[in-house]
Amino acid sequence: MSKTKSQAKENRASNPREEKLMADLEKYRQMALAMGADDARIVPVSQIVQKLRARMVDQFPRAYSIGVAYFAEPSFEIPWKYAKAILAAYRYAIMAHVPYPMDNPNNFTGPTAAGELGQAIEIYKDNWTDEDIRYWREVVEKRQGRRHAQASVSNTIEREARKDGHQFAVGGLSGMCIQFCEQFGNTCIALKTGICRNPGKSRPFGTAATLGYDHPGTYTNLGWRNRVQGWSIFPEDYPEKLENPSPARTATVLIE
Amino acid sequence: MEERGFTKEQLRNFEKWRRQVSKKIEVADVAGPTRMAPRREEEIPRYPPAVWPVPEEDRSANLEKYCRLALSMGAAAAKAIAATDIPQDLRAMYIGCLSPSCRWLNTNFHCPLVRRYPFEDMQEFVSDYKNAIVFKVLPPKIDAVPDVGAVNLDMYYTMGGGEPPDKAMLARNIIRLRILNEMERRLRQVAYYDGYLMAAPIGSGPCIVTKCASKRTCQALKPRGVCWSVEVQPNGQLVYIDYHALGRRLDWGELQPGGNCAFPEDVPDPSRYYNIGVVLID
Ligand code: SF4
Repeated sequence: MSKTKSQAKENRASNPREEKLMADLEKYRQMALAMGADDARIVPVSQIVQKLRARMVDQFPRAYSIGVAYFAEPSFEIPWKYAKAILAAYRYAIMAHVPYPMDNPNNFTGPTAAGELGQAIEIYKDNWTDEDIRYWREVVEKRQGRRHAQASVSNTIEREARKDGHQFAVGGLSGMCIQFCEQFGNTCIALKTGICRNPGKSRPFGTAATLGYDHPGTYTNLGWRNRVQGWSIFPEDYPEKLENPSPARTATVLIE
Repeated sequence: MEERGFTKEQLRNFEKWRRQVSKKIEVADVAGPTRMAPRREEEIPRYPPAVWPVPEEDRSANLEKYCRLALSMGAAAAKAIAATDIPQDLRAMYIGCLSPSCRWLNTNFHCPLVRRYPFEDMQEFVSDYKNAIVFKVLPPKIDAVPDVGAVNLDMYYTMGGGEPPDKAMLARNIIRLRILNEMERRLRQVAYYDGYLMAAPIGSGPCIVTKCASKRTCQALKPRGVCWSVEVQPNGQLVYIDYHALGRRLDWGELQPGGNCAFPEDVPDPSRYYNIGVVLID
């Protein structure tokens, strides 16, 4: 064993807080596996690749989320040097590779992936013709895309970690926070009044993009692989028997 | 992609779309009023579900493929370069866009002056990429006045006491920029569906001209306003790209002042006018 490794082990042994952290991390890893991840790891944060492109790419081309809610760009943006400092302040994350359940493949790819088309119709309908609105509502009805379980993997681990005393544990919010404001016609009240109507639920969304986690770079570091998803890959475009890797989402929770 | 198990029909469909996406972009393809809602399901190009991250050994073949695609869509030249070979210069925005000020300055949410980023951040952003596909686009030859829907941009000419613009000139330029935009859009789409998830098209002229000429003002610039389009992006000057130095570096000839936002009618030598498209590849 190298000197540094044995020293680290010694430090841990003599530091109960550090020992508890290691035990907690293993607990969260097991939780992710129990919730359906096919791989879950305790990752030193140095392995998470952080790049500004992961954030800027939302503008090139423009993502549907820009401008729609207080927690989206441009009203909310962590200065890039702070985003770097925030990630650097953490030591460990739980990263889980969570395959999509294949019962309804419209959940992970095609126009209704992650249920966001329904929201997009409501947000953008003033610009669409009645015929377009009717057409896309029928598509949503037919395909029934829904948000994926990956969100609950990160939320559950984050909640548990906070209970365990890791007060800055943070997972992401998948999809736009405007999902909580359906009853207000999918408009963001915080953009109008400055006060969010869903405190405790809402948060900066696309945490990966906000902090700049670069998925291709991080996947390369972890040796993970995934499938491209998007509007131009319909469930009908998958081969009947899919070889590895299966499509997945990534749950990332920064712990401490 | 070497995936097994696709049906003949699936393979035929991918091939149909591959041909469709590689076709030369004609005036008729981008003419007419702007489409506001997404393309309908049957109009959405379809790709096989590729695996990412893309293996490094596939890079050079993919870059060659993207250059061929740019040429087949109608580019006069195309090249894959290292992203760090894209010249960035503070003057690209602070002098190029401002002195004298561009006609389209602050008219749309994607104008580089609306959302400014520190120069160092934009250097970092470009250097996060390994490559860029750059391509040269000459103004298309357009005989008749193309249909581009209603055009309501007079005030940008008359506000300062100028003459109302020639509608045929505006329509030609809307088509010219829409073709450039469509080339960048398709290139990025093909790269993205190959597994380059961070592929980024960089600018293609003022979107108030290409997308919102009928609306006259940008709805995203109104209080709490939101842009309606997802086929649009900020202009290259946001990233401080010095298109003039890039054109010289590529030996494509002296680029006329104003970059993609200037019209051939506004530049000293319209006979040498061209545009540069840029798509960053991770
Ligand atoms: S609303 Fe129109 S002008 Fe404004 S940013 Fe969007 S496309 Fe551009």
